[in-house]
Amino acid sequence: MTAWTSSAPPEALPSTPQEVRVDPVPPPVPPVGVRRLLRSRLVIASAVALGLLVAACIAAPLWAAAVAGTSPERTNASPDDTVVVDGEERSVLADDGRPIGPTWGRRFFLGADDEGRDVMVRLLYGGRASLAIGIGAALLTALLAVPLGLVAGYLRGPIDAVVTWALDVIWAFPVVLLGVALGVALALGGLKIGPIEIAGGSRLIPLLVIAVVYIPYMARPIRAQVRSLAEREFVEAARAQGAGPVRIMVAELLPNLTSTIVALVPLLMANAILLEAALSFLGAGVQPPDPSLGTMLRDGIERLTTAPHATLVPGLALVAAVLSINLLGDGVREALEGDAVADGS
Amino acid sequence: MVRFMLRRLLAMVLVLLAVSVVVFLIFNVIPNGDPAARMAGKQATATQVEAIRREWGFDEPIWVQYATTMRKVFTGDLISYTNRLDVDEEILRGLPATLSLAIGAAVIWMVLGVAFGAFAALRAGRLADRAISVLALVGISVPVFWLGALMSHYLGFRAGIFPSGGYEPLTRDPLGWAYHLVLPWTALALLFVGLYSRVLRASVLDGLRQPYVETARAKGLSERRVLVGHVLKNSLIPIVSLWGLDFAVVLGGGAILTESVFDLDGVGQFAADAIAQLDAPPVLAVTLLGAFFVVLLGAVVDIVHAALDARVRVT
Repeated sequence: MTAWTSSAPPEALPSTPQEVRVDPVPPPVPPVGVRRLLRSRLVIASAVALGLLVAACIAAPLWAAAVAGTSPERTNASPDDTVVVDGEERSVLADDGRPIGPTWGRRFFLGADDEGRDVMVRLLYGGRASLAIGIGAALLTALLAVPLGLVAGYLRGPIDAVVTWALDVIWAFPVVLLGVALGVALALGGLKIGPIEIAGGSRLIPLLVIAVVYIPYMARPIRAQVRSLAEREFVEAARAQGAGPVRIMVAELLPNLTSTIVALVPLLMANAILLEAALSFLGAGVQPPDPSLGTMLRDGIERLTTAPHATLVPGLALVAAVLSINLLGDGVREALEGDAVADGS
Repeated sequence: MVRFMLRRLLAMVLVLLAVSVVVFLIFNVIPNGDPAARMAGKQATATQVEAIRREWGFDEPIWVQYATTMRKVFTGDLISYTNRLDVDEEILRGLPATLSLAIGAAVIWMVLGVAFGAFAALRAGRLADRAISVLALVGISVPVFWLGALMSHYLGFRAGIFPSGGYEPLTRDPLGWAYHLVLPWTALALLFVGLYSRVLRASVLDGLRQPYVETARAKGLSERRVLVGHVLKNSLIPIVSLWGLDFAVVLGGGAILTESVFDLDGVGQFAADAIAQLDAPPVLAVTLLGAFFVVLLGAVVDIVHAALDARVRVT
């Protein structure tokens, strides 16, 4: 291992839409962090927005059953399927197949898609799937990447060489290409690792694929930080007291990685949600007829001329979710690291 | 330095080797992925499938198949399973579109990213800075295929201001080439403009706090000279590294989404179509090409980084 590879800036990751600043010596977490976080109106607004989105997605069955009275998969494609708008009875799908636009009523609040499914109901269930996959994938990535980075960075030697090489391999793949190839292959065949068996159409497959694809983007900065932390006196002191490597990694190094992990996870969530949409859009993510924001966009974009709402609605929801996570993550990072401006320059 | 380069080269080859094995395995462990059965069609008899299996060597042990395939990758004899086209020729056919998209978008996002980032850093803490920060976050939160589809539909198909898709070769019609690429360039560059302006802003602010800025000011240099000649020059180092890597990713089929939304018929779209049909050879070739660009430009970036930054030493 050369000093050189580790000196490559950790932010130099392709397709990671945001910088991640990992200081070689992490600044102590300022006690004003939380207060500073709460002072920013933008951060509070985005937290509220994200909370509302999550609450709406959790309430999906409630809306489907109590308000719209339908399910996300139920189609209304026959001419007899009608809905009353302003006292006037209208078909869900017109004679030329044009789906009805937003009625702003109980049924088809946001209109129908080209198979006569309720867009609002699909949006809530789809948002649920997208958020669950994005958040789940980011947490799984963290769960896999943190131990890898810790072990590689602290133990060094052959273990480090193997882990670094494996990370390089994943990293060398173009992200979308690897995601799509894995997604298509697993969607057809399912996955079987020992006792765990995942069926082909399961939503766990895109979750797993996304988690694996993003491992290097988290493990590399963690490893770099562990390497520099390992040189510090407190590690030396722990070693002198007879602490073993596991104890040092868990009790000494891990707590010092908290701010890096907290800064990286929202970033991963935002990217994972976007990647889910991209994979589903290319047919390699959530499998139809299950809704997700990506599959809704895939269905909608072909119908932009006749039913623009079927593309605009899931797209705007996607932007709202990702943007609020990004704003929140940005606020958290600023509160943890201290912005150059806030510190006075 | 020579030893370092050799070691780096060896590492590159090992990574590419692993990438090829992984892609090959992905397509060989799919339960329904038997290429012979799919090539023979639905009505084929068992003997016909068997004949194809023997003819194409699918009955050989998997490592023999891998070795044969890899030999073909390098000799240019790789044939697609589904349409039996020469894979290398197809990639070469798609490369001009992908190259045009990547180069144009990379120039746009670099120039705009640096301009916005430097401006935001100069106005740090003021309204303009906040506005750019939020806009940058919006840029990285918008899915490129959604934005691209909306642009293609509303600016192209509906308003007719731009072509809604397709690629016009540069050699045939330079103006038409640029005209067809304006929307794809914009859609693809937007994400990176947001990202780069943020990286540059952070890097300039960091630079302004360094002691050498005090020295430069003490020498009596104007604030503009300090900023452009000293701070900005150093702040460009991380951006240039990032640029090389992102460019490699886009070049190596990373712009699948932009290519398919705008129907550019480039390398990424070729790979996406092949994946949909579980056609292993094109996917293998495109992925290797992409990985090659990533690994190669990764090494170039490290070397340039060392040349620009005296603190990075080769050991």
